[in-house]
Amino acid sequence: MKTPWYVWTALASVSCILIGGYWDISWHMTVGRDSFWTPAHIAIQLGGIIAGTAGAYLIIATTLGRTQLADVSVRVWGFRGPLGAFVAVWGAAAMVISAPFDNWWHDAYGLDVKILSPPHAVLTLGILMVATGAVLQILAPLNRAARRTPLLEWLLLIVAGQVLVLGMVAILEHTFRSNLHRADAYRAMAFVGPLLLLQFGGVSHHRWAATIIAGFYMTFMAAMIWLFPQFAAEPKLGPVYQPITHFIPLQFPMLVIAPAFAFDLLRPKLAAWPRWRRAVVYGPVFVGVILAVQWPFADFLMSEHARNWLFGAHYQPYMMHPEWYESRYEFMPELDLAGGLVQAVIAACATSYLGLLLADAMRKAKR
Amino acid sequence: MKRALVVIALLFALPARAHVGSYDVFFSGKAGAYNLDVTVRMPQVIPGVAEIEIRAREPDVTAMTVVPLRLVGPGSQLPPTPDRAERSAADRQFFTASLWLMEHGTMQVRIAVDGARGQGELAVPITAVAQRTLGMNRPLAILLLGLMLLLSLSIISIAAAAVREAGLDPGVEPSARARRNSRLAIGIAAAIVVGILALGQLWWAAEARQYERMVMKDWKLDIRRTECSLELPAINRLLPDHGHDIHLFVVRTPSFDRLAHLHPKRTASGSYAQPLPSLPAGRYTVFADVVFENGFPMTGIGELELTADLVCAPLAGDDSLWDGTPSQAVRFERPAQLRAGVAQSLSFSVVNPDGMPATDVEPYMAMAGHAAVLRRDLSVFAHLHPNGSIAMPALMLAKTPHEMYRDGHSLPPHVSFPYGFPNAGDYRVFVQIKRSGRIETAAFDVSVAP
Repeated sequence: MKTPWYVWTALASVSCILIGGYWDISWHMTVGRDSFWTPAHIAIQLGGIIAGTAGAYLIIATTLGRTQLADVSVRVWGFRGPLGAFVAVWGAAAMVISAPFDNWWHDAYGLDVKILSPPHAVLTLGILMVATGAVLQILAPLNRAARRTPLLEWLLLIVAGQVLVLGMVAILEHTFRSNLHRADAYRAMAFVGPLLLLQFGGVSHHRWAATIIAGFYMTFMAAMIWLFPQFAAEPKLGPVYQPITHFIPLQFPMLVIAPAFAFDLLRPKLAAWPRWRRAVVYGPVFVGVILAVQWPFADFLMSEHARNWLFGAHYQPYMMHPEWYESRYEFMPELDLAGGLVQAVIAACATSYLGLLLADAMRKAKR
Repeated sequence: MKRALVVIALLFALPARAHVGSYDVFFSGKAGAYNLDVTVRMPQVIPGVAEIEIRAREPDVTAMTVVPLRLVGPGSQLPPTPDRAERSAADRQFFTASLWLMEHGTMQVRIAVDGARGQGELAVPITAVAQRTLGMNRPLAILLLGLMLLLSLSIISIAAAAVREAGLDPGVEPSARARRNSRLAIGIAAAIVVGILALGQLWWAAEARQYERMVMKDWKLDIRRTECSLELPAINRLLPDHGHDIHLFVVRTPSFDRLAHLHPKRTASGSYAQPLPSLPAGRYTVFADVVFENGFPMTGIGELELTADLVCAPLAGDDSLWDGTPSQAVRFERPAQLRAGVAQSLSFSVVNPDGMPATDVEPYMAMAGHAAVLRRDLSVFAHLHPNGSIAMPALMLAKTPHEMYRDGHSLPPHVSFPYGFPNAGDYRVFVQIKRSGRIETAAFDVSVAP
């Protein structure tokens, strides 16, 4: 089967958003202030524009009968096109619409000091839909294919890995180093990890799908730790508690590859089980395994051995007060570890179920 | 005590600011060997971007950088990388830059100057306070509402299409069951969309309410009068502004024919007391200028109603009363035109009865002069010094060199105040100087063009 061109635009759109999003966070940790026209923002919007333009072209061409996709398209308001194209166009539209809304928001209530505001929620929803559209655009030809298509398989795993990066970045404020001996970090990971690993792991036919997806996340995050400090930058907002001369990367990735590997080991063994029973197993496995590896690894990240180019524990954002736990390489205290971990297990069971449910639904998507 | 606590709570719950209706900052000062006239156009929302305009009086300035930072606390010692001010191509002595003000409160702008006579630095205190919330204009509201409806309806249709057709093999038409399911999907998706929109509306309203609490409110003064004595509630943690905790301007309105510049004294209970001079019956508006210990300036507004003429002892010390008699001694060197928003120098000369320059001008509260600018409708009040619109204690906290004179020092017979009227309209400018131990007040009416 010839690889359709739109899987490449799908990959390009999510890649732009991923790199732009990472760059934007690093920008705020390093430079502090920004405008609409920073390279990071342009990369994010470019991702939306690629998704929107490619999707719109695909829909119009299919509607006018200029593609071979009429038989494998869905109908929305008289238009025909792949479901993923409609979802991606919707996401791109939401991203673009968030811009004037955000601009007005700044005029009315000031520039953002917080990440989550209503216009940013519209943008985030748009990004989520662009990524979902990208996954569907790769998945539909894959599900239709009569025989194995390794390239599409790998593209799906890469985009799934990108979605996992976005998901893990979304819970960044819970997984910073000094929070890693608190249940909060594991509860946050329980919301993201099982959902995405089981969803995409279940969709892919690859034996080690979840491990590859988690491996992509960890490789991307680690590579950025090595790459970003190579570029010069300096703070433009004060107070500057940490003197900085280069871009500050995000912290070392969480070791989600360990529970992902456990999922891959378990998947064939549990395949015949009902969904809820699998969820009840996957939930505690996720929390147990990530806790077993991340907790001691956090001790290492706090040590002097991690303060080097490889692990990047010495990179501190300009606004990091010298008295804060992060600066002192100390863990924040935990008052109710057991209670928090119970919540984490319950959350992991619920998101495992949701991930398995979505995987089953997505495996059926052929259009 | 309870009332004092209430007042303090009010002060910090409801941000107000120095002056009334006059938010931009005007300052003239020296950065090393260079004389600079600085205007900071404050943003209406915080966090926001202020614009700074700097004019070097001498032509040998080659470059300037600016950086905003906190006025006090550890942040005042940890500046970010400064921004280069842009030099005007048309006017080589004019520089501009943008200042990102990310937090509410007292800040300073550090200006570094480079030129033929070496380097110099100047710190200009500013107060970052939200002035308003912007409503959404109708065309934008209609556009965004339309787009929101489009997004809402289209996602419902996409969900329905997904349920109806996404799982079908190529070329297969959806079954009746699939169509029924898609109708069900429309209902579920619509309910989810409505739920998300409702939650979004609640969130937006909560954000707007939270921001509204940070927007500047009028500080209403609770003034009590007993015969010839005025009492103000306790205000704590003040910095003295040229020797006085409070500068009280009492103006008869709407005639503007009486002005008392008073300085209440703190009592043992923490409240402030002030003897009043003899005043004719009428309605008076009271403006109270204070500066808190973090350099935050505020102006309170109160009212005083005198139903009968008040007969009291004459004022003493730095307190003064103007009885409406036009001054022959102070002359306004009126610019050809006064325009709203434009930084101009309000210059005055002091003359003897024979028209010759006065030789007996001396400092009034350590200053060459004081000016009070009032818009006729009382929507603007600004208290100025020859350095500009910044309160002295804030300049001291910023360690900014500024003119202050000892009593008895002989001063030249002219004084000027850098200022820009915030909007067009009719204003009265009161100017106060001191000659041979006497405080002289002059009033000038000005019309400011748009």
